[in-house]
Amino acid sequence: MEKNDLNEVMDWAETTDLVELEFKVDGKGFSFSKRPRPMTAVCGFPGRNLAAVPCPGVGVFQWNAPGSARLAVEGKSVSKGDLMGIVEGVGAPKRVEAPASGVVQNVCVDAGQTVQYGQPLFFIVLAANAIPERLPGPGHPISWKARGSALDRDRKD
Amino acid sequence: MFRKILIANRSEIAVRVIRACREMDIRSVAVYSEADRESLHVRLADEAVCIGPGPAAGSYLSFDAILSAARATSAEAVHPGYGFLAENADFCQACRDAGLRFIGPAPAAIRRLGFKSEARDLAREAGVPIVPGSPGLLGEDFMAEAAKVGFPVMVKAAAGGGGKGLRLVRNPKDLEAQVRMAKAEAKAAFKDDSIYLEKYIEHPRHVEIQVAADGVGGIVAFPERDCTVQRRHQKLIEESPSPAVTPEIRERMQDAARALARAAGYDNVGTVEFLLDTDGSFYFMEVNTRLQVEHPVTELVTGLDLVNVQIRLAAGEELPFGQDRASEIRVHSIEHRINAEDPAHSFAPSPGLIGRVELPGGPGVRVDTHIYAGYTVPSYYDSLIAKLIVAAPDREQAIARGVRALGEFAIEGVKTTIPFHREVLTHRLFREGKFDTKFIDAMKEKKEMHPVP
Repeated sequence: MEKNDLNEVMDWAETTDLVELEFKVDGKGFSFSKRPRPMTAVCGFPGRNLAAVPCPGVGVFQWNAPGSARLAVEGKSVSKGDLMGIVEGVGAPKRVEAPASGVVQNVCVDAGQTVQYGQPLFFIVLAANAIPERLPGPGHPISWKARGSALDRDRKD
Repeated sequence: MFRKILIANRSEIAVRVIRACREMDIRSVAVYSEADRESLHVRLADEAVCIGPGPAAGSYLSFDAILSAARATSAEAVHPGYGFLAENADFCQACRDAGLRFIGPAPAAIRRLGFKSEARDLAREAGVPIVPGSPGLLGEDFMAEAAKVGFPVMVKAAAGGGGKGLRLVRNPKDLEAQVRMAKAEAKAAFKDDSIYLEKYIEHPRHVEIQVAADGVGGIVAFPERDCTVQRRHQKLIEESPSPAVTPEIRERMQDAARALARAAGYDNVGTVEFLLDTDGSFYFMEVNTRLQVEHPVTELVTGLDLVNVQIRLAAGEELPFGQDRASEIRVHSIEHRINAEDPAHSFAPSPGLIGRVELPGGPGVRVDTHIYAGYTVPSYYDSLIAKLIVAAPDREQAIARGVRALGEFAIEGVKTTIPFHREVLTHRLFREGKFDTKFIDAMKEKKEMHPVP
């Protein structure tokens, strides 16, 4: 097969939802894949796009007020401020709210479970616009000055 | 007896209560704020619950958070420690309403004794001496009132606090001007210009009596604690017995404290604070309706465990000993409050990471603390990080033991008041026992100092 023919096949494949394609005649042919290569983990920290939803107080966790439907399930999109559960202790029940917009990735709690302040109840994958800015880089570049410049002359030893 | 107690406090006092619980085979529940995750009380307790953020309003002062933790862990009683909610009658009531035993007196006693004016009235009724002063608020006849009380007098704002509206008058001819100034100051600070007069005590000592009452007639008063070494009303060193208290004064003080506890219908442990004058007369100041920071001094002197006593009384037991046992003075004891503060820079707080700790040991040495190497002193709370309490057969040996133990005590990473304590212990006037509550301020300001008679 000529290289041009292969380009034609690949252009065609782009118009479909195929992810992988293999073509062989008598043990010869080609294959390609649009699946991204599995990335090797660089470090064990969660990505910047993952946010914990901390528990607002001590008590018993419930999905919602009695008689209301569970709102937070894995894979569901939530917006900042959405109700994800409530914590019932002494005093008024406390609302567990999404700290930012995103998709619920992990649910670490179940109804009826005793929970404490600050305990992660959910992890959400943040929506692109909710990802915090990168921390500022390592400061300003250092510029060296020639000996005898103003800085050097002013220095008092 | 309780099976499980929640300790609504932090730091060394939480550790102290956990230790008592363990010895009594009671399970302990620690509560902690996010800033106290590393604290020793969290590690030592059988269970620990994070109840809120660093600032105490959302954690150690939150009724809901603490009561929720008690419910979640099925605790039966709450020990409030000192500070935070320990003298809050509403919290005491909230515990009761939630079906929990509050380890302390009843809410009514906390309320009555918590209000200074009401506590004074109660003391007067019980025949406990109070500082001579104008019978009520001061009117236009202030000159006659002052003459009755005798100069020097202190002019005080009724709504007072923080030294505002406070005027010392030594000379009768200054009185009118000072009364006017105090009124103006009180008006500006508290929107209330009512003032009253009190006799000014030139060389006061702060001496207090620990009491324990079982609510069914058993009331005992322990030997006194002398807390005269203070800096800006903050106690630094406490000792028992006091170098200024004779057996006769002690007995009168103990009788007065018991009379007041009886009149207040008090139960559980508490402390009656007095001002002691150089002539041996003493005057009621206030009642602390809780365990005191300096309670170990009394524990060493008497050989008793006051937290154990507190828990037993709260559980409804009667006092198993009488006044004779409570009066026993077995040793001389001195407590040093070690704060994370820089004594060289007007005792500014010095929070931070503790790199190394070496605790003193040996005979007659006790250390109550929640710190360890690698612990970070948070900046949210008071700066007390350890208490060193020594005991010896007499005062001289206790001082020598204190100097020795302070020398062994090494804390690296934060500034502490350890060197300051050594300075006090080696001071001539401290050794002679001839000082008053102004001793530390005079020492720090390098003022000329004379022994107090």
